[in-house]
Amino acid sequence: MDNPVAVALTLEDFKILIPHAIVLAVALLTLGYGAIAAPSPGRNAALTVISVFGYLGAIVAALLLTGQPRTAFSGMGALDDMAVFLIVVIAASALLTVFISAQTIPAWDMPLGEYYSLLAFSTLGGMLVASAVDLVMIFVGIELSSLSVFVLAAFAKRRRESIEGALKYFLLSSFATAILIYGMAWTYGVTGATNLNDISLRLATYQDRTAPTLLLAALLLIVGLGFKAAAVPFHMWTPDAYQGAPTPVTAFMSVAPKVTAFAAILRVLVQGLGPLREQWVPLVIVLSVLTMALGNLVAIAQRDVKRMLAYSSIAHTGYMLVGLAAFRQIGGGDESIPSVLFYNFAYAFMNIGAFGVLAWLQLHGKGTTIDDFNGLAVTAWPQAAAMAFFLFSLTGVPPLLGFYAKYFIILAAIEAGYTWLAVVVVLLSAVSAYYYLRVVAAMYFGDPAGAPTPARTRFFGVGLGAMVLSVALFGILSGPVLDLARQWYLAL
Amino acid sequence: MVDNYAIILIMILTVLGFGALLLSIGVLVRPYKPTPRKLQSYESGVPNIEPLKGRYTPRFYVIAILFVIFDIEAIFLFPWAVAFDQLGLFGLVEMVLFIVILLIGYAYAWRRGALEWV
Amino acid sequence: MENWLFLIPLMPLLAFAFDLLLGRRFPGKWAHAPAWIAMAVAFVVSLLAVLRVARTGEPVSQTLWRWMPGADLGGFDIPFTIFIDQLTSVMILIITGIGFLIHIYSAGYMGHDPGYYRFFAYLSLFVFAMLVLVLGDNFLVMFFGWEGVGLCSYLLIGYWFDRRSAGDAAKKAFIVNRVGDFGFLIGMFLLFTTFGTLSFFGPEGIFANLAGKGEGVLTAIGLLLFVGAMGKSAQGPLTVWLPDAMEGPTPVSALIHAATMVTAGVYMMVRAHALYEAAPVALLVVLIVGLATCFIAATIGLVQNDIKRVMAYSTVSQLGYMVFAVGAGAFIPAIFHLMTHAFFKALLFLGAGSVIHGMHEEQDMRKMGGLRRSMPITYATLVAGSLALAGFPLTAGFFSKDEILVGTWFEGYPLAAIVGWIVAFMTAFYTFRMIFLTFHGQPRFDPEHVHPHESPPVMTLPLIALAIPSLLLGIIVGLPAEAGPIHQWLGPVFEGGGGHADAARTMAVAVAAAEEAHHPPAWLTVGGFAASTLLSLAGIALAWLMYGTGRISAQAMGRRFAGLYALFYNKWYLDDIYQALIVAPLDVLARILWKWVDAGFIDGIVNGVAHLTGGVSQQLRKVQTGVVSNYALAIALGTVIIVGVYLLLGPQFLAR
Repeated sequence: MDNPVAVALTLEDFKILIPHAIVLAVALLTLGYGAIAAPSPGRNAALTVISVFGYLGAIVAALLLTGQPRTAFSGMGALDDMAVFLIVVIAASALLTVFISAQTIPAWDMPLGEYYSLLAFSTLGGMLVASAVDLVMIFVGIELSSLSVFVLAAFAKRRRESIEGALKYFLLSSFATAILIYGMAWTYGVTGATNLNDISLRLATYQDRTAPTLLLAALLLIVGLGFKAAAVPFHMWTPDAYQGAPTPVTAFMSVAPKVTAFAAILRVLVQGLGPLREQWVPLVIVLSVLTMALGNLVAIAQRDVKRMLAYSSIAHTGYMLVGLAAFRQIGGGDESIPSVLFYNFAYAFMNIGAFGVLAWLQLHGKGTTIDDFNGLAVTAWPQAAAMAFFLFSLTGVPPLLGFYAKYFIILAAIEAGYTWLAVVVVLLSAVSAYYYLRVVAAMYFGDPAGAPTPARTRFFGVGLGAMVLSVALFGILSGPVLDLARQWYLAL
Repeated sequence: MVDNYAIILIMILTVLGFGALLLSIGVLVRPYKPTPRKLQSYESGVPNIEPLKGRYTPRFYVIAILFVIFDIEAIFLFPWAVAFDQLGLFGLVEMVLFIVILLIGYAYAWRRGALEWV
Repeated sequence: MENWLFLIPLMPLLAFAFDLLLGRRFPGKWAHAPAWIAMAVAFVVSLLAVLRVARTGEPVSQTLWRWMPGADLGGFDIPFTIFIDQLTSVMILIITGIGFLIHIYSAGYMGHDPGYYRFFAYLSLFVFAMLVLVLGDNFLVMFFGWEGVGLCSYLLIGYWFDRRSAGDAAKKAFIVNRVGDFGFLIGMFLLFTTFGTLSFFGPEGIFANLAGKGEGVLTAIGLLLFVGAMGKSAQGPLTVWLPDAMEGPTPVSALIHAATMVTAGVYMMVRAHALYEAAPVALLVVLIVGLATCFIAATIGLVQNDIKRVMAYSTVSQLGYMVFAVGAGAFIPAIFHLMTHAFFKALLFLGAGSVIHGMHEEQDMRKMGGLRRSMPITYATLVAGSLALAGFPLTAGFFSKDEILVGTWFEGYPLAAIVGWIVAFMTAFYTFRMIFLTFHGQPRFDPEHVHPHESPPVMTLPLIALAIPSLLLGIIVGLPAEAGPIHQWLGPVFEGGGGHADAARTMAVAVAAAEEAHHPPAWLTVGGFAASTLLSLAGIALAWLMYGTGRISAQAMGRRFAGLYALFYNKWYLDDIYQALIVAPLDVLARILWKWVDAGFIDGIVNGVAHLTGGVSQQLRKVQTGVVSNYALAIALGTVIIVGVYLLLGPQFLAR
């Protein structure tokens, strides 16, 4: 407070923002170019290329910047290993979304420039959260991410459901944001800090960790962030918003905002409120069981694959929360947070993949119900095989990526002494097989009359191929990926 | 610490008190002879055509949002201008970047016809 | 050097991916090109690695990544490590070397097949899996390869999937192997619970920690792993799939069902020799099963008429030799025979393929005859392979078989050795029966329709390349008997010192010292030589008399020993016994289970649960009203309840 304009900024600080700057450039370029150039296939291709290389660049930049935890901006941000990991996941999910959007969005008469721009802004918001170590920055990042997604959700503006879903998402999200910021205010009020490391240090000295003010702060934060991650009972917006949005958008919003939310949850609960572990873990356990149970059970009743996947994404939030519930202390030997990070990573590939095939189907003039998948394996075996692959992975069939993700979560839960929670995960995974495999059954045993014959879809091919490969490959290579996720922990 | 807030509290009380004082003077001093026309909302002297609870065209919102955006830009320029000496070249570059981003937004809004009253 | 080891399995994998994805689009028929290149590179890298092992005497290894990291979680930590010692060296050279030749041959043999690229994709995938099997340095990686080769075997047996018999054979192979794999899997579980690891080597590894473990447990593990080996190497009751596997294309039979995959069981048991040495009862079972298989398969081979089936039973019989050698504790002779057998049996299969190719897909020997003139190269090479298989003196098979028999005798099982010699006689007989029926005598086919012709060079060159080692390998690595280069090469694997400083320290030191001290006495070596020579020549002579000159009538023999003939011809009624004892009761049981238990009881429960879940699901669905204020209410209520519970009852309320 001595020097009112304490400018401690150096260029070094901006180094950690290189990945963010690249994505910002993508947002501005696509917005500007999309507005200036006349719509044409060439322009669309150029926009796609800009986006693809932008996200690739951001991923590469983030990976190159891995190493020692580097804090900057007076401790507001950090590019530690967790930030790098999450930035890679978020940017990768944006990249994969671009692949499944490149042909669908123009085909449905939506402006591609704005679309990519909003996608980039949302990605940017997520990346900011990933590298934020301050409540204020986390809030700004979450809002940037959410606001862009609201607009994306309403992108099919001629369809009533799209507007309806987006409006519901927006209204409820505002509500949850209010709760979140209220929680942040309480946190600040109790600890006198917004920096997460400071909060953690001060909390560690508290004698009475069950003080009502402290509990209230933690609970409000969990509620606010739980909403963003679609945890039951704060999940109500999810099915409507997911179903209303154009399918590529749904693919993105089922992953990126969720990963963003988990980035915030990990930062806030683990890095900031880590000392309050004993207070918040019981709540996380309850939320995880509720979320898994409701997501999986309601998904069974859905005939619409898009809506089914929406509920399944709620269920996956539940699995991730199990990993979080297994948190014991920061440091070696604790597998909980690496398992959550790994789950986010795995989830990005398989979920976007499943929605991608759905978008492909819609592009070929079909709907999104299970019946629309009938006999797909006969007329378009690569797409059907890819879908089966993703669904098997989502179910958790070895040796695919999804199996390893669940495996690590279950291990972490058992390690932490919550064997019954691990059993719940396994049981509900078995339930999930029922509704996932129904789609596979329709594709392979359904009547192929009326199934679409594929047209040439280059970007889809690349994107789906990349995701299939990732789901297969990273499953076997899960060791190194998990090690990467574990590093943050050991460095912290 | 409390002292700092005390000043703000005094400020708030003063503003409220002064406003209340002026308004009550007006109420006490002015004559009060209402006619229906006088009770209408003031619309720049033009008689009201329809009730106020009707719908507005969304163009108003677009203009309003654009106004807010560029208004805030202008507001943000003030503190920067005041602290320009301390911020130096670094601040200049920062501000240029900021304005460039806004300009792209401006160009976009212009190009998409948001500034035209069609 | 270590950094390049990953290329050995990777190259075939790349070839597989390449062929599968792009093979269809290759101009002309070039799908074999990536597979050829991959095999050549893998072979060269293998050779370099082996030379390195030869120079230093130390194993080389490269850890690629931690496959299943879990060191902090109960110690289940599986690294994906490539490990090459002297034993692995033999295997990878066989796989890549013979594999390369068979890949070349396949380009000719499969030239007219519409699924050309698919064939090479599968074949490359098989080589990848087989390499992983032998290169892994723990049981799980080995099992990964083990399952991989099983899958490829299934795919390739059923390669001509439009034939019903091929599909059935593929399923049979897969299901029978599944029985074996189940044993292997349980064996692995038991290993892990006993040792807390699945790694072979290292101070924490299995083989360094055998001491102090109960013999009962080790015997159980050994037997369970042997069940796996029985499946893969077609031993004992799990023999039945291999003869049917001949439905696959002939190069597949040569590579998978003669040279490499079927020897995986032998390799695994030799790799785990320290374990088996600590479990003598398990070894005895191995010996008995191997010997029985060896004998039974040979008797069946005597009377088969399909040229490939003769080979198939001969393969089972020869595998039986290797297995009972392992059971007797003669590990080095077992591997020696594995090696020579890989060469001459691959040669025999490829030669048979050449015959079949030249005869327009005819496989029945009764419809051949006199082919010697029209297929001279095939004839010459096939005779070379047959001499080796029959154990003709100084051929490769002679030395390795002789070492097994002498070794078995010497390890204390003279009776087994005598049975082995009887089988050697039968082997010589049926091998040359095949030669004489096919290549000598008068043509028994219709010359109007069938025009036998020699195969193109792309097929005959691999034959020649395989014929040379089939004849000479024994002299090169097998002399002097029981102490030749092969013994010096593999010695470190079985001795405590040298190659595996840490490997089989505990058990093997004593064994090795003992082995060092007593080589088989001279009378046994010489006697073995003499017996092998005589029996081999006698078998060939009898075949000549019966099928070459017809001096002894085969029909008359068949009538005189009608009972035995029927027994052999019907494969000891093994398939029928299975049908009666296992398949039929299972069928009845399955029907009972299906009608009563499944449809009535289980389905009732399942449907009930499903109904209940569905009902719950339908009810829960109704919560989703679509009205936004209800949603907001849910959030608000949730918040209030959570905060209320926490503030009124405390967080520990939830924790309970």
